[in-house]
Amino acid sequence: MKKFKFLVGFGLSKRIMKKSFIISNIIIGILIIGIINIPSIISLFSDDTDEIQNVSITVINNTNDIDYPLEVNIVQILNQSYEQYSFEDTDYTFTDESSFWEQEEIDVLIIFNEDLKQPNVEIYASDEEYRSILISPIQLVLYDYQDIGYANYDLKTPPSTGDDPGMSEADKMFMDGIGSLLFLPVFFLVIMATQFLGVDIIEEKSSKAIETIIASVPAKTHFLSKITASISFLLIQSSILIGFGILAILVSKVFESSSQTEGISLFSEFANRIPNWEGLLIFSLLFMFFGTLLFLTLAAFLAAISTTQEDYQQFQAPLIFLLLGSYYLTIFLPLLNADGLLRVFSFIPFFSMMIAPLAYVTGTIGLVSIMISLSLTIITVLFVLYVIAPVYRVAILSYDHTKFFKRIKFYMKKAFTKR
Amino acid sequence: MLEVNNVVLKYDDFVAVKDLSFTIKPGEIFGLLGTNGAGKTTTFRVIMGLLDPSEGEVLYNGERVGYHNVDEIGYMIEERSLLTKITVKELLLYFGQLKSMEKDLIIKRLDFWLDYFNITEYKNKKIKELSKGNQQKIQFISAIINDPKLLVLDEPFSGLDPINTELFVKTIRKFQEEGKMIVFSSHQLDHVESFCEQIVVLEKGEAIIQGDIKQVKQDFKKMTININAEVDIKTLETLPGVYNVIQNTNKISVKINSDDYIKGIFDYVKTCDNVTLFDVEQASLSEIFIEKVGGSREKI
Repeated sequence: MKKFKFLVGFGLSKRIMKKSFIISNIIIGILIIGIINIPSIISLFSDDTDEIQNVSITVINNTNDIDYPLEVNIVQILNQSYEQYSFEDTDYTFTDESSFWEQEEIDVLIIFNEDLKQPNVEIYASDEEYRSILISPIQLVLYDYQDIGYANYDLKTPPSTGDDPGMSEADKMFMDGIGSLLFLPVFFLVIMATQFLGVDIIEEKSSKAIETIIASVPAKTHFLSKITASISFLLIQSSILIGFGILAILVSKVFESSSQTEGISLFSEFANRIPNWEGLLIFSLLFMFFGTLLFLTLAAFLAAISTTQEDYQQFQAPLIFLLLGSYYLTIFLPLLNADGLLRVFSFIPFFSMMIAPLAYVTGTIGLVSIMISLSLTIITVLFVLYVIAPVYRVAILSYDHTKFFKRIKFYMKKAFTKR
Repeated sequence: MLEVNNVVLKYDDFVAVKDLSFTIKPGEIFGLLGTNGAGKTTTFRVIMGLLDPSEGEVLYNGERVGYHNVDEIGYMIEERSLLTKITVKELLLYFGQLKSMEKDLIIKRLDFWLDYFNITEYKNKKIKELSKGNQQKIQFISAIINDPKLLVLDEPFSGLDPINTELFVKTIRKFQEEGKMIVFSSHQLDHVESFCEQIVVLEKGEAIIQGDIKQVKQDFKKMTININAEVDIKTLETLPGVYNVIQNTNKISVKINSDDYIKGIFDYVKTCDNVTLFDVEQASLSEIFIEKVGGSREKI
């Protein structure tokens, strides 16, 4: 156990206590903080008038007190409350709901019906952004009239045009893009960890130092320590990235408080659009952990059967293609609306690492399905570890130069004959 | 004590080591000789527990060699097996800790051995910046850093100049005096001859010569008589028991089949003029090696 811990520590320090690691993380940190705060940074240097957005609004008073100046009051309050918008009172004759959604002149329509003391308020807004800011000005106006601010609200939303009747066009675009957005860091981290592990093992093997090492620690310990070091590296690197993300949020909050810009809107937008984001986060982390373990185990195996660096570069190519393929599928399957394929790939280990959380968040698979997919990945990891650990013991000290499959066949036979 | 008992190692139909047995006692230096591919490195791997023998066993102080007692063994492999991208200090800390050593002790011993081998200035240099000879020294230090009771050295002198070879020999003798067991392989048979008590000569995995080096020489009947006199070479070649006569610049070496023929040659040399040298010596290890290994190949 002591030697295992030492090997893990040594493997980790070889990666983390390097200038390249520190410098690259500083650069990544600056980039993350910078990119997330680009709107805030731009707003610091730009004229505020450029930001003002014109919104045409119509208020129709169908209540028992048609003379009450609802329109004037609401528009006035809206313009006072939200500096980034310029609400313009515009005439519009409402006929029916579908005609309203078809026209493009009016952005917001508010209709007060029945008794103004207890009105039914219909709010038509093409953009969700407007819907969220209209209620409080209406309440202020009603409070002024009623002293209590009571009303029934009916928020009208544009009809969906996509296949999913419950999802707006904006939501759909967001979901389509989430694959590339969320899984790009996962893809890079797994590629990095896989590369590091393979290069680390083949460096020891090709220099023949492996013989001195395996003379001191069992091959199995060496194998597991390499994987543990890589997983630990992955977790440390992920934590650093998450840390940069938190730092970026804090910085954006500072911007927000000092310049009235909505610096954290990116994150609140994210949380708003993914109602089950907690589940997504947990499953993404679990899939990332076990999926990476699967790739690392195979990378260790490929490095063990290689005899030179060149050998390893050749052998690891299918593994990298598998990762690349998995990543591209997360981008293109949602764009192609290929729900069937998305469902199928979410159950295939290697692909499921990125595809299953995506299928879950887009609603293609449910909670039970994603748990089955996770179980399949875990079973595959255990199986691969069971098969590869004894083969690794045989292969790591062998310098066989025969062809790839012949080599594997030989090592497998040798490993399992001994057992 | 290290006991190698009837070890056989097979790869399918190929037998890499055939029924090999020998024993090394504390304070003994044991030489494992053989041509390239004879099975020396394989035997070392079996001793180190890196390969499981198909038959037989290797016992170190009565126990099988395993990870429970491997920290008492030092192992230097034939080829330079160093991680070249890290410094000497980092490498020794790595290998030392794999032998369950504390960092402070490793640094203390490293400083001692670097000073001993006159390479103190390379402590913080990367291995790849060192010359081949100095890399060999570092590899040797990595094998002895844990102060092993059994030292397994595969070709320790390869790539060393005569001065450094002597330094290695001196160190190995020092370990012998301390009662450690040393087993090593070498192509430089003069070194084996100079400080080995016991040897095994392997050919195709089989021990073709084995035992105490003096006994091996005695058992090998053939001898060499060095003569410096005005002799007739053709007459010498016709004398009974003579199988080869070599004319050197300062002497004539007469190879005879056994000591039974010494008298006949001496009687002839007495009749010659200007006799300044008549010296009988046992065959060298090289001669025995060439004779036996060559013979073994001829049989095949």
